[in-house]
Amino acid sequence: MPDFTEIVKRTYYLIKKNKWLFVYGLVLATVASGGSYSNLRIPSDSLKDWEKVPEEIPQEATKVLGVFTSTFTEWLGSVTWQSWFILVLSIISVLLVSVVIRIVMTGWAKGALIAGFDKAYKDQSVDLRNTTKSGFASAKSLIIFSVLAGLIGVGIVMGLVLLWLIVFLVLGNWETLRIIWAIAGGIAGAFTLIYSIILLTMINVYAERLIVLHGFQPMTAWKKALSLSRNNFLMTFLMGLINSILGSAIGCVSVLIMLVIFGIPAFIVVLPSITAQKLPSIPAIIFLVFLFIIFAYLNFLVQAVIVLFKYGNWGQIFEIAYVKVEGGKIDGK
Amino acid sequence: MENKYASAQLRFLGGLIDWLIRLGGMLLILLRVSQASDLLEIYDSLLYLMTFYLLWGMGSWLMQAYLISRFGGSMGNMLIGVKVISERGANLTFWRAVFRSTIGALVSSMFLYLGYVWILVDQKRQGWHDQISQNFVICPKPKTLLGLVSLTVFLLLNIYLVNLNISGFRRNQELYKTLIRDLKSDIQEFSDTPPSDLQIEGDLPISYLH
Repeated sequence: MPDFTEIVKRTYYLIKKNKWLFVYGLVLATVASGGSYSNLRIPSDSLKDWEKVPEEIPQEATKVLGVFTSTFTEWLGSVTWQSWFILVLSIISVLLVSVVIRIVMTGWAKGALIAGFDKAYKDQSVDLRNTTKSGFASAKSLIIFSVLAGLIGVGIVMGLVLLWLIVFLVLGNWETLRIIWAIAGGIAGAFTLIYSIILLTMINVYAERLIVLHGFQPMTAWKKALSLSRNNFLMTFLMGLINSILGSAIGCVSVLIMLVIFGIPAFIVVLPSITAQKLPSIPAIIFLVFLFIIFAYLNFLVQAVIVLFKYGNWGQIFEIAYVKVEGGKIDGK
Repeated sequence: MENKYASAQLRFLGGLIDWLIRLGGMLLILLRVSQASDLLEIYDSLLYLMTFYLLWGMGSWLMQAYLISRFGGSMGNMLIGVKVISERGANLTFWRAVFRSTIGALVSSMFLYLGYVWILVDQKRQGWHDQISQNFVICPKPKTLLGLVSLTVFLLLNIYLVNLNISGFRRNQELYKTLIRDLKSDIQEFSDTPPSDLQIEGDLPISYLH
């Protein structure tokens, strides 16, 4: 079993030494995680509040704002279908282009960051120029792999649900057996699902590095990553757990510190207007906006640090699993 | 080659010209909204504006990528005599240019525009978008004067368009005022009335339509 403290310490040292890695960390914090690293999540309760909007409001609003609605309806009738077609087409095109840009950006940044850490482990210099090449070289395979992994993931979930349903339907006449299956099958299915998700995450970690560092093809990488994950399950699981705890800890502590640093001045500025029951003055609003921008950027930086820690730690685990345990002899090309 | 790298000032000038060209296109389309004198025309022009902005936003980047791959630079770059070349000295491929114009630009502007500021620091005058796209920006024959003249022309054109838009909006300000006033009173009435007492009220004000 590797010394996890040493792994985290080494990652910290490498991040400190190779500042260029932050650029990729920032990119991945923005696009790849899709906000999963965000420390500023909207509490689910506040989301539920949206659902509490009285049902009658939209209907009543239509009644009161009827004047505008009828003008709008009149206008809607006058617009040609060609105009709508072009608008819908442009919206779809913009959405498609945004999705493609996001996918390519993620693939490129992942490849470049993995290659960047690999250079850092070997004590080579790391900059944008020498890492972007690896990003370009592996972006296509990484994109194909992410589609493949996604399909396999969906396939497993669908398979489990289907299996449960089929057995449940087959046991149609035996009520007791149906109940037993519903409970036991449900529990077994949930455990299988959790195990599959953990295993798929591990496969993802190993396969991405096999593609970037050893030129594996997506399918070969998936198979090899599966065997690596099985053979090093405990070590990989523990690293994943440490990464999650580390990410949460860094996120929570940094948000708490930032709330104290920015929240106290903001409160002092807003306090007079609260006591006077007035809106804050223009300079106060500008100050608050300024504070919020700094807070948002610092939070963004913290997310990048979490991404870097995750990639740095996984890179070392891959090094141990693939190079030391497996010997790194398989050529995937 | 070192002293042929385009300076940060020159690149800023080219970027400013490109930005003014894009802004000019948007202001031109905004004219249709500012000149609209009744509600139906406003709705119509807003639909037109939305469609055009979506296409313009996407098309202008694609056009820039095409110009870089075909002629070695965007409009602004060509006017000031700056060329974007690959590490081998040739024009960028179209897709590499698209990468530079989209992902490159995003990466450079992501954190306080530090990627663009980097042009001032870097020895080869490469911003982050240049480094990740593996290209250099050179200036074989600087055309600073032509650049400044072009900048002035585009600036004046934009000021003229802004003026036209403002005068159009001013001409129709009574329409907007009536619209906002009535909307406010409707909302006020809505918030004051208990939901069960709400009635359909008022006819379509003819003043909106003419």
